[in-house]
Amino acid sequence: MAELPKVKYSGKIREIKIGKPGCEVTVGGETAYNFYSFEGKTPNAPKLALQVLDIVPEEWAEEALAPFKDVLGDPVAWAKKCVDEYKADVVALWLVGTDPNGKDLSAEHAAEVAKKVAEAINVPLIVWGTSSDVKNTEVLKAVAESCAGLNVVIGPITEGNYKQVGAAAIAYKHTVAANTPIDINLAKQLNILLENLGVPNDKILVDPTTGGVGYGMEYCYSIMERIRQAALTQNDDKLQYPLINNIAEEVWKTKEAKLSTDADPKLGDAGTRGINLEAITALSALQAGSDLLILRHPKTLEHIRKYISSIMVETTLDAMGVDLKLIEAAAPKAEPAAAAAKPAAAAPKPAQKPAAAPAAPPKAAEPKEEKAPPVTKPAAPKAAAKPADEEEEAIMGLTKDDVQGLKEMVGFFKALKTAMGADAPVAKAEGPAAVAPPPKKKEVGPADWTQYAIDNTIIEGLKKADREGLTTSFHRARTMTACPIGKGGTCCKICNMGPCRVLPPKGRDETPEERKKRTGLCGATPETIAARNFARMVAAGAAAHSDHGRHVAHTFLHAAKGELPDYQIKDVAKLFAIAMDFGVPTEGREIKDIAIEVGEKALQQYGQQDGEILNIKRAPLKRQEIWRKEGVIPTGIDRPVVEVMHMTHMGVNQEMEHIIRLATKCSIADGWGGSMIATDLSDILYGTPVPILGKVNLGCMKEDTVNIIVHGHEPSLSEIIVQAVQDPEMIAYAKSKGATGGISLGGICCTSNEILMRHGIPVAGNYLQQEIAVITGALEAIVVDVQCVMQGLAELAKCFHTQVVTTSPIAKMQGAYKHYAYDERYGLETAKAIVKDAIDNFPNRDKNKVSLPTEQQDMVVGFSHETISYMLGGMFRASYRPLNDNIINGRIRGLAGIVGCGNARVKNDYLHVELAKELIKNDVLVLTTGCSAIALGKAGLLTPEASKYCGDGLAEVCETVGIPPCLHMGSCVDNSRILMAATAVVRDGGLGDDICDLPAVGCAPEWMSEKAVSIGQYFVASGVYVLFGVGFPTINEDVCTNYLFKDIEKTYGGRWDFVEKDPHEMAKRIIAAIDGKRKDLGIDKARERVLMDMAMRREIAG
Amino acid sequence: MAGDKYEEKERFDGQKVQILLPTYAAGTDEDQYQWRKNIDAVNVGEKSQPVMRYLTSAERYFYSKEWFGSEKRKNPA
Repeated sequence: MAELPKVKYSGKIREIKIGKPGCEVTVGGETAYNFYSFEGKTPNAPKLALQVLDIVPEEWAEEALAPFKDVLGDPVAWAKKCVDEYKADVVALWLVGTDPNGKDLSAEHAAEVAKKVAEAINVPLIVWGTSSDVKNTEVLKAVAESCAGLNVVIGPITEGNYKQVGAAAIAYKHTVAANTPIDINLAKQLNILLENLGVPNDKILVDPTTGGVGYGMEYCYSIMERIRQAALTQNDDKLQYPLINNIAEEVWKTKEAKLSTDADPKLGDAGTRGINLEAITALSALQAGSDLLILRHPKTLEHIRKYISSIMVETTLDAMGVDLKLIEAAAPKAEPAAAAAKPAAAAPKPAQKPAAAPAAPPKAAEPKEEKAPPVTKPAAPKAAAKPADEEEEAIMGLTKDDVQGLKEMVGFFKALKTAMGADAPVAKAEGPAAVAPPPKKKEVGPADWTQYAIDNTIIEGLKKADREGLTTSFHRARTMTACPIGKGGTCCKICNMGPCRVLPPKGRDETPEERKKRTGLCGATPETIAARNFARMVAAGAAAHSDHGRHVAHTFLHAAKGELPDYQIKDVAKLFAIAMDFGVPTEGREIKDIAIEVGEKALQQYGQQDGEILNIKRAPLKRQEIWRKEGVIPTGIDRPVVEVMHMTHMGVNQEMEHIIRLATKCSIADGWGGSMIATDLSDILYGTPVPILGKVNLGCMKEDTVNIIVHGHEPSLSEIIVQAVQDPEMIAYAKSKGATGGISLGGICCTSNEILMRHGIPVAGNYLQQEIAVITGALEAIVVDVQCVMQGLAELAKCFHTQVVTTSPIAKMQGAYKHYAYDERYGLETAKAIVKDAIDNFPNRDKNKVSLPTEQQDMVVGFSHETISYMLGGMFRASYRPLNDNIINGRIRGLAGIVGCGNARVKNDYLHVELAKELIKNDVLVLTTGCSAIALGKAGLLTPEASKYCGDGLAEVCETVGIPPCLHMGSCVDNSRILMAATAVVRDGGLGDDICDLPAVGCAPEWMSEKAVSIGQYFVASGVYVLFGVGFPTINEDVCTNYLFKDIEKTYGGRWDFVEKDPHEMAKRIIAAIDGKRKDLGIDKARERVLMDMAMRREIAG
Repeated sequence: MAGDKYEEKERFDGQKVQILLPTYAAGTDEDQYQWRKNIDAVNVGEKSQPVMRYLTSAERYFYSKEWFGSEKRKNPA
């Protein structure tokens, strides 16, 4: 028979002795995943502790109290009973009496109880504190002192108290349980901190935090599994510690464990329910890698003991009855890097292969025996066929009772799942609203990263992260499920009577009576709740864009006054144009005076309390009329944001349509207000973009240069950093530090779009490449300002030499290298300081950690709406006429704005790229901004050569004008350029009188930020059909969703739509929307050419 | 030129010929064409308002009372 493809493990878990001399037990020591006896050793069976309390328990389930009725309130007797009667390996004393929110008993009390218990028992003792770090510090220090020399396990030790409690553990020779909140990086970090403090590495246990089954156990499982993978397959010595899990409290505090049988008969017998829940949680923890479990009920201990006894058996393939031919056929051709990871399906665990187990019951290893080597089970000849039941019972030596118990557990779980069915999301939107699928069960095990991204730099970066044991947003997305209640808009958390969740019933229609009853505690209806959540997202997005605009306006005004020597007016023509928009006189005035008045008017727009914001008059006249009739023209930019926050406060606006109306006003304040000001004033200050050749992707980072990346959204500092890195002194300084190539500057996210368009600075990547840039190991500094900056960067950067530099006065980051509250008055000075720091950091680069991608793609970017107009008519007749003509004659079918973010919950960049290809193939000209533009750039769609993907009509236009079929128009605030381009098309004539008449659509296929919701809403309010992918904020609430997807069109001519993640379905709907508009305009079919005589011409002229 | 691609086709008289496929200039950063500087050039002689003619005839034509930007538009939009 062939051999099972075995995983090679490079690491080993440390063996740790706990307990006082003479009563020690050992945990850990594994050289393979738990119970993978066919691949390595598990020399010490996992140990089981029973929980004892220092006081009489309150609110315990009756079933949990019953076994200890005679010893409650006497921790010593209780502990003895656990050992003598229930055969616990370890006793866990929970000092719940010291809880500051409960009895708040003193540290002295705790120390005394702990000492008495420790001395009374002949097994190790765990002493567990409460959830208060502060109180634990005091209590555990006292316990450590009173139990000196008894080697108790003290916990939980956290980042908040590790110094004090860790020092006491060192002094009195105890073991610590290092507790972190379900995060592999934090777990590793705390271990490092403890080691640095001086805690010996044979005195540390890792407590990764546990959730009860049904309460997040799967997430805990995946984190534990990752910790074990890093320890065993990546030889990460900072994670090679035994794992401890406090199962007892997490399970027994749940409602399901406490409810009586009468309270909910569906959940089954209360007598066994809690035990089953605890046993399943414990069993899961064991499978994930646990070495020490704290349990509450003796029956649970008994179940788990039997399980461990039966599985601690060294097996052979013959004994397992594995058909290797099947395995070989099914095994994926894993890459070398993935080969070291935990096999998901190819190598079934013994427990998962019961059907062909040998007839002879295996001899169980004795779990109480220290370092008991697993008993090798002889390869038994296959027995004659047995009745199914008998064969089942032979599984791993389980008795009939055990099997019956397992069956009960399964039955219980089915009942529990049915009872909790209301937690699952249900999409009730009708008509065009697509149904959001329920969240899939999160994956564990090694990832095939080609399924998560299309960009090779990301795929390779993630593989490297796996090898180094690093966690990124991609990793977290695999293990964290989006909250199904919050995701669909049906969770109301705006007051302290909630949060209230108002999900519809699952799998059936709701009766009107049920619908009427389904409200928040205050009576708020689901549609009110969903609309309020939606409105708050709009307000947050509008605030972000508008504050960006305010910052630009502020810089602009001071630059105009001559107070900022590093900033100059670069586009006088645009200054004059905006002066016309703002009604600022220009005749006979100095440029400086005009600029000051423009800057003052721009800033005044934010606080304006009456009238209309000035940019409204740049919209088509019909659009203005609609907005006035609806009362959604903002008086100022700030006020609608405040109004939305006020009207969505508890007990204010409680009519769905009115909430959406005010959210619409807020979004208009963003798109036609704050965002437009940000774009226009940036153009005047830094230059209006004109087409330029750029490059995109991480290949911009070089091995022989100091690599700096700017990331975020505001261009004020990045513009000056561009100057700083080109300073000959800086380049010479970099060379003096060994960077022979000088300095390479790149950008990520929208900051990169700003400096790309104006200076041709390469784009390193889009939103989800920020972590990948750090993982290259060759990034000296990442300089961030605001929006879309992941907090995980700081922790990730610590694994390399990268400096994370925060620069916005409103955005600091814990763990960042340095913070500058950037002040434009000292622009170049600050920029040079940041660059110098990065240069000084170059010698710290560890060459062994460097792996630089070479991928880079050319692209042509910088199509401002002014440039498009110029390209289509030159100086003599700049206009959109040729574009309109080609839309009318059908060479161009329509216009689509593909914009927005990247989202780690879908295959990164895939939706952007596939959708764009499908659209240009169908002659739809694509306008793109933000991270979407970068995705299209990486795919080569921002080059004229991409016309090969186009339909004949669009290809002809692109080749004639010399443009790519996808036009890069800037960053996310530059979506206002698309509004202006659409308005220009309307004004030029032949395609209706308003934006809603145009065959034009908007789409954010991979959106993730609140800004995207605001952008979508101002496009809808401007008359555009807008399609979102990857979830919609109100999708679990049908009334509000139907309004946004259908009824709102009657008012604004635009509406929302949603397709989860199918780019071809997205394209189909977009093209249908475009064709609908073409039909309404009467340009859906070719018409006969008529040679007109003078009379006919006179008739037309009217 | 090096890098050019050709396609073989048959002429009307049956002779095989090489046809040059579309070519694209590689382009460099220096090729960026700052067309907005040309705005000054179309306003020779109008020193006080050097850019206004372009703006009123192109980017901000819609503020003009005389026309609506296109021969196809009879009313302002």
